[in-house]
Amino acid sequence: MTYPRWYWRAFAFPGVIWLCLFVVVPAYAVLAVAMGSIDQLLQPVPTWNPIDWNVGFVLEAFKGVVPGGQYWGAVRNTLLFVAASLALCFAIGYPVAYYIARHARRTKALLLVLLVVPFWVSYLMRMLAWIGLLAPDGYVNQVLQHVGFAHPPDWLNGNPLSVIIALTYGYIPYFILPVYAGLDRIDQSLLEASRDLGGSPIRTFLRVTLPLSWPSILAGSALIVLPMFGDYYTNDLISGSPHTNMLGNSVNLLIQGGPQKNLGAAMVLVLMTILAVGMAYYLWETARQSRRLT
Amino acid sequence: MPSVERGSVDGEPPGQRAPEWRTTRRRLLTRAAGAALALSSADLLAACSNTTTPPGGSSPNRGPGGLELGRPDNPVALPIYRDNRAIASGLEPEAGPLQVYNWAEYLNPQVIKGFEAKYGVDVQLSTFSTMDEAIAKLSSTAVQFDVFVPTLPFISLLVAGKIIQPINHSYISNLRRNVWRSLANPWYDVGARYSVPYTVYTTGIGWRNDKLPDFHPERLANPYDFFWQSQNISGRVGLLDDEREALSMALLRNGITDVNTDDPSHVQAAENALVQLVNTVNLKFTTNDYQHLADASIWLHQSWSGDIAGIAYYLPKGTSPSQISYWWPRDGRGLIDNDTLTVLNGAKNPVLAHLFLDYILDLEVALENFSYTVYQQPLTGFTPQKVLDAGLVPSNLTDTILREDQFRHGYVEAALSELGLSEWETAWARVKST
Repeated sequence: MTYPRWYWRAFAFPGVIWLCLFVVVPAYAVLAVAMGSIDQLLQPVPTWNPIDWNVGFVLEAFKGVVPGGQYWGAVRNTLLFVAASLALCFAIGYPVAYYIARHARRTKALLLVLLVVPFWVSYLMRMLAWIGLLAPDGYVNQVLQHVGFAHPPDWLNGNPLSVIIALTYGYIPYFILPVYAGLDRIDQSLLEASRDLGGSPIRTFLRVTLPLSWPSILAGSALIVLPMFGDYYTNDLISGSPHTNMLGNSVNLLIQGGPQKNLGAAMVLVLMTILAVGMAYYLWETARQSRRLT
Repeated sequence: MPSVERGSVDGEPPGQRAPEWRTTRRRLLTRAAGAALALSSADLLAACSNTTTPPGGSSPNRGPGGLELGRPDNPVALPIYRDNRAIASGLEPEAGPLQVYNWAEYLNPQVIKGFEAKYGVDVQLSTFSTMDEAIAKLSSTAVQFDVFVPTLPFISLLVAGKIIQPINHSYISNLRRNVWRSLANPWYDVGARYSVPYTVYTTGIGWRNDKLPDFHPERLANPYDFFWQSQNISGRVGLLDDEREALSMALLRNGITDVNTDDPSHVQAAENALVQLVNTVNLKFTTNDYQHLADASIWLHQSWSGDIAGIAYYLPKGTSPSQISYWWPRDGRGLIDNDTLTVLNGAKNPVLAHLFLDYILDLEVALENFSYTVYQQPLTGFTPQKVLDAGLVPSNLTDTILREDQFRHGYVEAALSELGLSEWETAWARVKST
């Protein structure tokens, strides 16, 4: 039986409507506010017609995020914290996903459930728990003192390491799950072929497993990097110091009050631009990977 | 925008500003076309360079709502508009339910129950977290509330936007009977045309006296400067995460007592002082000062009096409230805020709303409210001794209760001019991006 051309395309229709309503329209609203003005009640007035757009706020936002600009510190912190958290997620998450996919066997289901358990508790509560753990007299410092650290670190007062640890903890399940799915799908016969051809376990891992799991690593990275770039409350809760200010904190500050909400929206555009570069790399790399495999 | 005489009754609503302050993309394109290829990209950028100036942006005596700014030495009666009048006297209260729009945890549920019992109506409470969030909702007319609790700097803005309605004093006898004279007829709203005071509170210094036994601010010429001398307790120092409070304290530390200034040099100096503080003592900005002082993660914190008055609830077991101290200049020359109660324009239950305002201004109700919110109301019978006798505040923290004679000398954070608003926010953004 042959179907008309529109038949299969119609299946995408609900998704397209969803995207239009909840992605394209809000994104355009942010754009309209960034290109708009502010009224007497200090509320932003969006400019919907592109012909009337006011580009001043966007120019100011882009000027602010380059080295030497007012928000460069926040951009630098964001890039550093996200990169460090991503590296930690990989270092911790990949072996976990590898173990579950390749060696867990009967405990696989249990381990997967345990991975999902953190989702049962709200992100905010999990971060608040870290505050208790990292407090000056919290368990972390008690343990450190017990093993000989006379002066354990002050974790909660502007310590970048605390923010990185909290970001890693908060987002690592989102990294592990897609990586696990990718590793689980790798055809066992490919690994056996490598071993049959004389490849050592390490060489097999580096030349077969890792390249084949690369798309899932990228997917997991994209999943956690996107929200981490816009995160502000992790830093607010764990640090509260301007020294660890992230781009999300700057956006939050600008849109919370006063006459600079348009600039806040413009900063969101900056953030979207940075993320668009990352997403473009992700799409290009996954396309390249799929071409290599076919 | 038409100017509005002080106390006039025919001022028109301030509409949106004429667009002369901003350069639109259409204008850019027109200029580009007119200048053809001669116009360089640098010219284009220059054409855009002033597009982020706030609306109006230059009048030192007017706020963002376009109304004249009230100051203690320049009292202002807010205008009454023809299409936004007070309700008539002698009306029967509506059947409710009364809709109250308030800050979270800022009204004792027992007080609400008391009002419900007295008038036989239901009260529904909705809460907000920031004034901007509240105004965004109220100006959208998507929500319909009766009573609203704005902070002082926003009163003129709400009047200009016709978001609140004038008050008919015949329903609020407690205003004249119980409220401090200086706030029954306040300088920011002469005649209390649109608002009655809800709470007053001071912004001072809270500290752990068990950690800082040698800190005696009353003996120091400039107690605020102690923050800048606290490198030895780096990481244990905090300021309120609030643009007005933090910059105002820096102004006072610099010897500037006009905490509503729009003098760029003063604001800049305050910004520089805060940046220096961030860098030298690893400063933490937070509004959870009561938690941080209670668990001793911070030893020295700029604090609101109400937060310190209620700190006993947050202290770990074994920690006495006597380990916490609070300082605010006893002569009253320190930072003061007051929040207000208003009736919203378009309220479905305006009479009931007036009666609610009157109810809140009753002394017994205020004390009951204090037992939950720990924020004081400016009523004549509401004295430090009264609060102490009722066991509502630890004896070493009675300085958190303000007297009227102190209030008269205080530096009240009022609405900023349009220019000041922009300067302060820019300075704050720089401090937070240090």
